[in-house]
Amino acid sequence: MKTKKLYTLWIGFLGIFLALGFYTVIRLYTKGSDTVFHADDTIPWTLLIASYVFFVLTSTGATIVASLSMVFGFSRFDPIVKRSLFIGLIALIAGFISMGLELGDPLHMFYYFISPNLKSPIWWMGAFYMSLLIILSIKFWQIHKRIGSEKIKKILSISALILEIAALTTLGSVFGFIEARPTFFGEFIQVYFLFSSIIAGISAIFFFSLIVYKLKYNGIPKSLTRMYESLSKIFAAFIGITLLFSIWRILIGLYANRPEFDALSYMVETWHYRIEIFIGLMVPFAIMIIPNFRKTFSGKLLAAILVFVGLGIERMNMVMLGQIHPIFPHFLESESIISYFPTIWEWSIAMFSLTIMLFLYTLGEKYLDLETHNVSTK
Amino acid sequence: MKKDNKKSRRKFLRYTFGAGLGTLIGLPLLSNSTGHDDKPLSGDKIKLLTTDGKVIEVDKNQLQNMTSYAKPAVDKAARQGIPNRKFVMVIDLSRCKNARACVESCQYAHQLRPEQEFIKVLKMQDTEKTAPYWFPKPCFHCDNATCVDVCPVYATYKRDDGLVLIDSDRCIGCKYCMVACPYEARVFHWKKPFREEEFEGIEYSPETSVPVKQGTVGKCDFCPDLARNDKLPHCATACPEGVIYFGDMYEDTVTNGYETHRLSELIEKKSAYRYLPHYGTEPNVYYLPPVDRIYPFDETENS
Ligand code: SF4
Ligand code: SF4
Repeated sequence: MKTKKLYTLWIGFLGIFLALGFYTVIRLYTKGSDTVFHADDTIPWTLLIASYVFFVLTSTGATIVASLSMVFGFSRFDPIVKRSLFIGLIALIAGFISMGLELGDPLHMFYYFISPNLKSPIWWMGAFYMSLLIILSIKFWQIHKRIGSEKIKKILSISALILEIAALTTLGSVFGFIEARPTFFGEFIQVYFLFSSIIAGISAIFFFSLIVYKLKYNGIPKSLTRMYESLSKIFAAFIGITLLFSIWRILIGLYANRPEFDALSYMVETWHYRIEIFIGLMVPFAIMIIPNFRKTFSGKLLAAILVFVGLGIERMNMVMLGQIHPIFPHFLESESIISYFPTIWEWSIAMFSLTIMLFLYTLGEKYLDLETHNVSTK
Repeated sequence: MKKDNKKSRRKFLRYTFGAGLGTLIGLPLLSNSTGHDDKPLSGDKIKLLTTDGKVIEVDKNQLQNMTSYAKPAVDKAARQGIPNRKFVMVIDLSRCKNARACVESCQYAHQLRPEQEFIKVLKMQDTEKTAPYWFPKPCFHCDNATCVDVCPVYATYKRDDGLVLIDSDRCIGCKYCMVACPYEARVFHWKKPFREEEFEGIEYSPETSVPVKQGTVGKCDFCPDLARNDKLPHCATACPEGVIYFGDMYEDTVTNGYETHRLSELIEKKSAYRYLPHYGTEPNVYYLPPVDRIYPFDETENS
């Protein structure tokens, strides 16, 4: 009874954000992009690009975790394969929603297919992620329906992993190849994306599965504690690596002798950058390396939530870092830092993407039996 | 003498401005102002620029298509460029006094909103010890343009005549080109197009960049529709100081409408340079340094 009430409340909560999102979409296409976006040519990429990066990298991370079992044969992780794949799929859909709504003229998208520019990183990124959407859907369906030969399953699993890595590094190159904007951090960002996507994936898996376990079994089922302990250690290691990269990013930026890096000096002073580093990485790292915290249910859940939220802020900081410094070194009148804060409507679309993801997850949990094993509560 | 020339030139420009739309959108030009058929007069007057530079008002029904007028190219032709040409611009920084006539004429011709500028006039200062100067900045039509490389759908493309144009019928509005251009030369059409009714029904051409389409990207196009008719870009014609020279690299010649120079000579003798060349973009806009200035730098000047 209590669960039913909670469920109704939850659906109602999602409904509010869905309605707001739909209203914003209608507003975008009837009243024009200037009524929704920050609409400033010096900051062409807004919150929605950050939200796209956030979701697709979460998708990549979740698929990489699924690959531990699907590709590398670590059977201990079998129980989370289905859920991880599903998270990979719905995060990708959420990413596409953010990107699709960012586009000024999505109706022209058919030129993407009939007139491809193979030199463009964005073209490749789109191609990889679209292929992934198809492959992940087939893969998930196979597991759900328990169909498909072992050979085909393996080929699909390997293709998904290769495509994820290709997509992730291409996404990095979308930013990194822009020579005039060194604060996107060139090739560095590709490596950073890889590590941060893994923690994004694990945090999403933790978050979703732990809440389900809480509701269903009032805690992590005994049969799965060892697997979650292993995953927590992997989580700790990759949070540590991501943190290390973040610190290097700051140091490289602060010692760089180019005016554009003023953006970084500015950024490290801001509250959102501090949240990214301290709350989004350091605190969860501490939670995950101290066994007494790591082993607890709430320790894991808290670390997952902090990383999830911290990465959301990180993607935003990353997208802004490349844009907030004007690229005219001789222009006296230009502000040294261009200010930007997302409009309420940009927030609404980002929340819309997240809500769709949460909504799909709720449906998946209800109708698709995301538990691969019959878990025991003993 | 020179001053008189300038005066009359200014007057001419003011009229051209009014008639600019007629020229720009390829409306039929006047071939015979006395009328050529039996159509009754409509009473609807239109301002036009005659081939000898006069602006006249004629009745709409007196217009007749002139076969010699080259219309702006569309579709494939707009992608190929004008044969055997390689366009180049030279901007003389020693003459610019921020009159902003270039900005305004460009905005008018390209259906831009007051806050949108394809050509910007920026206040620049190289070091604290050197004097500031005005710096008109259009798109540089780079030979190695990053905007062209990054566009996923080839909406931005490079033509044989050196121009980098945008096909708004193709642009998906991803804004990657805006982020990738090292010169911030691009603007996004965030808002509903300005003066929409005036441009209604006109065939879109990447050579004119009008009618503007909301949700797509725009930028300086070097006015190839005018070049097809041996005319200078709007900015060059509008500038009262003759700051902007336009020409052809193959012919090694540039002109601002009343002075013509060898491009190679300007580059060599006046130490022309290109802006931020270290990006390797190979811009096709050269700057003559702000030395021996005609006007002292005046921040309040804006006329
Ligand atoms: S100045 Fe910018 S927009 Fe113009 S051609 Fe060069 S890179 Fe492209
Ligand atoms: S905004 Fe338009 S022109 Fe620019 S890269 Fe995207 S599709 Fe190409």
